[in-house]
Amino acid sequence: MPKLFRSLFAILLVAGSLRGAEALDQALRSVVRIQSTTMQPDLTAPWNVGRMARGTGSGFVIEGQRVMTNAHVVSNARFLGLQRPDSPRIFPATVAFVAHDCDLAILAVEDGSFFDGLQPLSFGGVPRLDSAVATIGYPIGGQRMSVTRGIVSRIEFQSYAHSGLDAHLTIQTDAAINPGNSGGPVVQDGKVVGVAFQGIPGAMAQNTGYMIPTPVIERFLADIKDGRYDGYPELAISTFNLLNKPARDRLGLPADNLGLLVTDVQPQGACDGLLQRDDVLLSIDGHPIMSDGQIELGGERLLMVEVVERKFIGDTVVFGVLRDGKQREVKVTLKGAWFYRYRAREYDTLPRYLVFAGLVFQPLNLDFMRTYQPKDPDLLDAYEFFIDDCVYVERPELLVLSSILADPINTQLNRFTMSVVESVNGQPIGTLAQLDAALSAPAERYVITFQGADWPLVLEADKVAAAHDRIAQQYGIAKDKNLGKALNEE
Amino acid sequence: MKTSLSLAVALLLLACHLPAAPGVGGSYEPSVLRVRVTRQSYDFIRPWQKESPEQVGGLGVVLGPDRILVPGWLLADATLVEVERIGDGSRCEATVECVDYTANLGLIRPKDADFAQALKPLKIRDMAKRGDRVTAVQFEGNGTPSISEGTIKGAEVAVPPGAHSSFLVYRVAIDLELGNTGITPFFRRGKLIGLMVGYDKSGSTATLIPSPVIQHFLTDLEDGSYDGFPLAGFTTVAIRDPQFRRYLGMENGEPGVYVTGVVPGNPAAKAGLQKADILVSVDHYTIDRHGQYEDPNYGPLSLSYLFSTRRQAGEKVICTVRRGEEVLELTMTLDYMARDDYPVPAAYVSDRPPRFLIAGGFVFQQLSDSLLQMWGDDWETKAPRRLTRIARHQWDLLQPGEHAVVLTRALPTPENIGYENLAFLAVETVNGKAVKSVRDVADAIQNAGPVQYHVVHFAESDAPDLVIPAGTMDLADRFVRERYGISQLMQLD
Repeated sequence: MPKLFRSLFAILLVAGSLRGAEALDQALRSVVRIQSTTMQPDLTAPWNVGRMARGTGSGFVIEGQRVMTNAHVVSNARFLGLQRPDSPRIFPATVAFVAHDCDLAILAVEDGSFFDGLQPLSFGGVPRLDSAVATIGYPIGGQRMSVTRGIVSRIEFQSYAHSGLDAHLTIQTDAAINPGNSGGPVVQDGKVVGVAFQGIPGAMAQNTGYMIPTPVIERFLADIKDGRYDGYPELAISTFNLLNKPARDRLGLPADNLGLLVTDVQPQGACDGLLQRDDVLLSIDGHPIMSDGQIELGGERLLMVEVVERKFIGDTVVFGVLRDGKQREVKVTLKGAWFYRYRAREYDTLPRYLVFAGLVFQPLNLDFMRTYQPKDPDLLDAYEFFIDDCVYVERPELLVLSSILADPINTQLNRFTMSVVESVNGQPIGTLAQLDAALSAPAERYVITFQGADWPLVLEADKVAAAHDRIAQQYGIAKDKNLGKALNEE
Repeated sequence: MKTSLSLAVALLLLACHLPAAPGVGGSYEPSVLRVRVTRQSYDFIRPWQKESPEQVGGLGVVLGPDRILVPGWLLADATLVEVERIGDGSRCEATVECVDYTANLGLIRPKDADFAQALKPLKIRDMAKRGDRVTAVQFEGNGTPSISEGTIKGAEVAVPPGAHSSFLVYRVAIDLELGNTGITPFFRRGKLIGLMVGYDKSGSTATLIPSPVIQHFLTDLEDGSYDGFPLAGFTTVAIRDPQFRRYLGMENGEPGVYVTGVVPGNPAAKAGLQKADILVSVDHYTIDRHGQYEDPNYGPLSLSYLFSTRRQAGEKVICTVRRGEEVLELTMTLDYMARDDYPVPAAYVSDRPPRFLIAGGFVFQQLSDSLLQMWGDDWETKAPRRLTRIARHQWDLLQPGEHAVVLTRALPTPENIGYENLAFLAVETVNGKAVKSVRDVADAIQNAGPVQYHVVHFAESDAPDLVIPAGTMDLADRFVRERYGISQLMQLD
């Protein structure tokens, strides 16, 4: 079972009423078991195909002959097999849509007979706190379907572990949670009110399982209607509370607990040029923003960004803004923020790299940090301050010399490992493609400078050429590069 | 460091076997004293208070009636220093005459003249050579001396245990009778040759702060003011890679090391040394590709010795440098920079209270290694990156004498509600005035004139400006005193 499946859990709870029991009966028939065979890329040898792993998860049939599940159940899958609860037959399936930022996926099954007699499940709203829910799925501990029950414990913005970066609305329940439940439906009164997806592993907390609620699910389904998943828009601003009375007085704000302070606006983000530091956000789409950044939405107190969360790239939001003592409206056309994505895990893509003279260069991102766990302070800073220092404006990605495949031409260069490339022959490097171009350009020698290194790395072109085949053969490198696309080009 | 110190003391007091040859070493008794120190360190995370007192101990070597040599670490943050005769246990309070934490050397003086007169001063031997026989003097808990014999294996430039810079050290092959009992004086023919500061039992090797370093320390003091070991203020790297050598246009056997960095304002920078220069010779000693020269006494030694132990601050050193096709002769006037004057003072600046100011319930502190070390031994990865980054780039960000000031926490008061989670932000300005010391913060508030609010602006772009109502400063101070029991609200010097 892949590591991922062990750390992400699912939940399952049962409604108590007779009517609920009947409806649950019907729902049970539409919950399917998913077997996946995956190839997990190995960043330490990015030219290899990766490690094979197998896992199981849950899914459920929705309208349009589709199966919904978690993105993490099908990530990096090379083969997917679906099983109905009433038959041992395994139906091959493919991923039609996957949203790694909200951990949802839609599967298609080529053999339409898979859906014969299965009722597509429909979606309900956000269940009330303390109301009963049932979670259905195929967790570890047996082959057959499992049902558990519990109540809705909390409705809150939470991190989604699958990407490691994103946070969305989440519902917490107190049901027992186990690996394999992932992707299964959470049902109330016969309707799906959530997709079980993660828990808190270990002994830190008990009876806490999490589901993806319907606002997130419906947003995903609407996003893919045009045949493509675009993802979430981002405001790309930093804000700070306005609880402090002197700070409010100085801004001329009344003591009405409204208003959120803008402290920073990211270049190239949706609000770039529209909002500025020290703006006070008073409302979003007519919802008053409280001084802790919350708004009231559908009877719940939620973060202001929840309004943006339910929108799409290209939509607009209107802020009521106080600037220099005057109120104004600011209309923001929403877009994604590619520059945050280096902090998200990547799936379904092959690792990007370049091998040159035995030097392995790779982009600096979350997967890199998880794989190598570097301790070099300059590298930690480069990762940490990529956004704060707006490094991305000039350099969409940072390239790190991650390792050296030892060869007589590079044995003196170990000091440069885990350093970020600054320039090659005076050419600043901001993408893997630029690095490749600079190292492919004819030159007598390649002088590579690194951030934090006080002297350059020098490689002579004729020596590099002579070493190329030797190194490729010695280390079994079939392909010496996979340039792919930088995040800003996607 | 504390654990190992107390361990050393415990061993010193508990060691009790292996009697020494009778008579031998007895003559050392009036020349080697026990030193007992009560110390109390400053609490850098709660700068208004000190930590619990603790006791440490070791040996001191009598160099004169008013001069007892001890390792510097022993005297850090001392509140009471006592010396004790090993023979009869008589004790006397001592005062600290001079301490150099960088070199890990200190001098103390007994307060009682009669006690001092009864001591027998030892002479210092200039130097020792490879192969010289030396004697280590240790004492059992009951005062019985224990003598071990060993041989000097060699000299090199390294950071000795307890020190904070590279110095000449001697390595001695020796099996210590009592094992590592902490500070141990080493003698050659009755004269002091070094203080042991480290002992590798498995390799039977002792590391000494040797007499040339001790002599340097004492000579420096002769004019009545202590400067410290000079620093040139540049770094180098060996040029071994053939491709890098050819890039620099260096012939195969050509000597020299590559200058990787020059600290602004230091002697090397003042003399005109630049990054990427190739340092070829120092004081007419040729520097080889590994950064070593051939010392007439010790053989190959790191070039840093030519700027440090061999020299006193104020002396001149001539360097030959190749810069491109040019060959330049640069004269460096050596100098010493107090570690406290570094933009981010080094952790081993002891005996000084942390600089801080509590205003409006906000705690402002000078950024120092001591503060960063509150995150533990691996503070370089554990401490907030915004702060470690300032420490690592201090010479690019600040001038000598300028310091970084950090908001370390907010003590909640009725007036600063909303800011309680702000911490570890670098202060850029207060009331529009640039902040380069904690005193600057105090002055900017003090001299603001009739303003309604004091405004603190941070270097971090996503941090809000702090707004502190000017009329409530006294109220907040009183609140901090009464509710948090903090009586001292500032320490500016």
